[in-house]
Amino acid sequence: MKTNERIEETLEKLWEQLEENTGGNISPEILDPEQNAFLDTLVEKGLVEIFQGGIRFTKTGREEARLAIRRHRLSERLFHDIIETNQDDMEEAACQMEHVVKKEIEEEICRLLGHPETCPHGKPIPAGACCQKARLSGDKFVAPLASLKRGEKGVIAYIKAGDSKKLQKLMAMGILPGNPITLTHAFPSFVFTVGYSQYAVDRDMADAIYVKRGVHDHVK
Amino acid sequence: MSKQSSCGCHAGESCEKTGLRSIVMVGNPNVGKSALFNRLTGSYVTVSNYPGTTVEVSQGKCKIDGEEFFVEDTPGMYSLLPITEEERVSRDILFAGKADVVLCVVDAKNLKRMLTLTLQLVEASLPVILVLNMMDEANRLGIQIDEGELEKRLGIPVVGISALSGKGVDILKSRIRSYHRQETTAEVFYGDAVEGAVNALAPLMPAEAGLSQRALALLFIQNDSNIAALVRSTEVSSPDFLESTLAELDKKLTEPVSYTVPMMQHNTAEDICNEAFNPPAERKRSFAQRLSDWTMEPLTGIPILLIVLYYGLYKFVGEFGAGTIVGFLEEDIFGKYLSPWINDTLNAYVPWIPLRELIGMQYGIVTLGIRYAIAIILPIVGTFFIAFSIIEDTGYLPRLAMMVDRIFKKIGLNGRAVIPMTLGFGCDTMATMVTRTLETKRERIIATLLLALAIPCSAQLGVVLGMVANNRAAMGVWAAFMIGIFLLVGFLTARLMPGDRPNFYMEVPPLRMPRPGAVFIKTYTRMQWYFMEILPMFILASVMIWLGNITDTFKVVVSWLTPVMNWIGLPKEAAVAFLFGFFRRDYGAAGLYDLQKAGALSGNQLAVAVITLTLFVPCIAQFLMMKKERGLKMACTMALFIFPFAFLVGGLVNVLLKLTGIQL
Repeated sequence: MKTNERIEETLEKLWEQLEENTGGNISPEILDPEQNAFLDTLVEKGLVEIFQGGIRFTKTGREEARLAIRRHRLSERLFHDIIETNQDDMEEAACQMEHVVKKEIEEEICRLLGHPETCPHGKPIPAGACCQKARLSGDKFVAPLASLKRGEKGVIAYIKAGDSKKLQKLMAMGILPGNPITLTHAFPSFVFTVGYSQYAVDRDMADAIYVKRGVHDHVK
Repeated sequence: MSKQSSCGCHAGESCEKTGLRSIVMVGNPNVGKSALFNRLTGSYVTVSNYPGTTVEVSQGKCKIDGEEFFVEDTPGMYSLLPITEEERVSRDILFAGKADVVLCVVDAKNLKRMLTLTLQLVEASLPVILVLNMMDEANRLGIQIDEGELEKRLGIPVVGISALSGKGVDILKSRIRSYHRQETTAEVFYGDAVEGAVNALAPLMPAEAGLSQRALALLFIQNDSNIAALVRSTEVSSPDFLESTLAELDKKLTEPVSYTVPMMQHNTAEDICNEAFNPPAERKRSFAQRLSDWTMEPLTGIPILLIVLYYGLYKFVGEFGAGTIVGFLEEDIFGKYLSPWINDTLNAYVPWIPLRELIGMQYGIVTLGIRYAIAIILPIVGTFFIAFSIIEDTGYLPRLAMMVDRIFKKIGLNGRAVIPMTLGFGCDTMATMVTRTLETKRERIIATLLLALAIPCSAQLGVVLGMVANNRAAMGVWAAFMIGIFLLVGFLTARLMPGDRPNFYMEVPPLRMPRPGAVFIKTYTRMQWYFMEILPMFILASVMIWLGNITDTFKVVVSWLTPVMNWIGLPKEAAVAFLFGFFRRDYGAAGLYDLQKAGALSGNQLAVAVITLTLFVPCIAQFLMMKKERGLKMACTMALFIFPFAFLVGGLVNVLLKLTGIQL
């Protein structure tokens, strides 16, 4: 593992402990020996500091860790939601990918995923600049149809490729990317309009349809 | 061309030897294929506002300017790549390559979406005419369609019609008559990677099939299992080459082939529609749309459902059909005039007593068989089919499917099963046939079992409601048990039979006023089907009972059933009704009805009797249909479960009522 990657991994580990578990200031024992040996490097780089016998982030260290954890969890979401790999593959792929993602690509991925707030395990994904901007500018999110509000309009962004039978069924009915879509009912089943037709689907199917929100007009 | 004059063109039977030019109709579900079929052939196939009602292939003949054509209507299909059984049936017909003209029927207002199927057919080198149906509806919405532009872009004839009003059908007929293959037709460009693979694979595809080699290659790369099996079974292709071509294609594409291909077809369709299809600037929200929203909103939808059930089923079928009409026919016509007259005539002129009993008296063909069929069953089933056809024609059923999907998922079905289930309240045999529209084998089995066990057919329902009408408590116990058993058995069967969770997806057609003509035709065809099937069965049952009676076997079987009757607390005369029930469910119900009217049943006995009878055997016709649809083994297994189960539940209800000391 390259030094940078190891720094990031260690920072992520620390983030989970410091920010999500105990908070503030912990003893170095929670780190595995390899990472523990690495602590000096982190201190040297000014990312963490020893404080009252424990460790805590410096300001830069905290920001670095936040970004690293964000990239990791976004990568997990990407493999989980869109590529639909299994749990083990997802972990492995996400671990490799997070280290090579550039900032612009990270934002692209975040936009594609609809600025998700949690990773597949349910842990929070720290918000990026793009998330805040999207929230301010009338949310141009991509989100599963099931999460839309009733009466909300959007444009179909993509159909999740996991189950090709499901994909085929939806595509055959004309539910295809680029088409404007309106969700008219969300309970007991999901009902939406595409073109001049109305369709009813269950939650499973509604979760497979990803919609660009906040775009009403026809996109060419 | 040699012409043969007669040929039995029944649904499902092939009609290849006629030598007539043949027309095959294909299209998405619910675009009006059946309505057009009726227009062309002058016959009456049920037209319904519910996707997927055509389960059998309807066949008929159509005369255009003196030339006779053979017409086939296929179940709805969305794409040449089949997902459901119905789609496979339709694809197989096209694959056989017998069609001289293929009518691709589309809903004009949804042209963009449906044009992809048209493109697939055109690419498959089929002799396609594009039929824009429901043009009137599209025009009302302010949509303008440039047919000339469509013809130019697709390279095939395009005709706008309204199958319901008949507008444009004559033009379509003349285009069919004068049809000849066009030189250049539309082709979709799928990008270099797909085109490369298709070009490489096309020569390896069967050349003599009804679909072009290009189309077959496209299906093959989209992983169509039937085509793959076909190609791999031929000698022409080496498996290695096929695999390497597919692998290479997969590598070149960023998205799955099954995504890329339809996407490109869709883009081409959209491109064509940008030129030829002009939507109105703004859309109005009509009252029908608002009403439609209410039907799908639990808060308003459940009251609407209850209103529909109360007026449609209880008031119209229960009180009017089973009460007023049955009362008139049964008591007045048969009871006062017909039966006494027949019996008097027989007594006067027929000296041989067995013959008298065959025709008249207690169990005769006329006094029992025909009386039950005409005076009791006909009014009930008739009113049910009228109510059902009206509801069906409004397009309410898909909305009901959407409402019940969550509950149906719990019992291993999905909302789609609402059609066979509600139809089961009319005739379980017909409904068992319709279960084939369900997607998975598991759903079909569960639906078949529930129909056989817990869904009373209208005749039975009418008689049962008639019996418990004056005893609300017994009615409540009966209804509660039926719903409970339906859910419980469904839930347990779903647990016992592991399988994929079925997906629910369905088009919701617009709500519209029921059209009297369509309602009439639907009711008429269903009644006809029903009557052709039950009348012989009733007569047969009368003969069997007569035979059983004069040979005493009947008495023996009744004596076998007597202990069972005792156990469930019914008088031994009820055994006769259950025995009849095996010939027809409704026959048995009608038998109990006689008993109850004679005052032979207490409240508790009434509840036990109606519960047991509702659960009890599918009638012979339904059993035969189960055997046909699910196989002998499955049908027997279900019957072997249902027989003891019905009496077991009956006994339990009896004991339960006794223990709690409840007198209904």
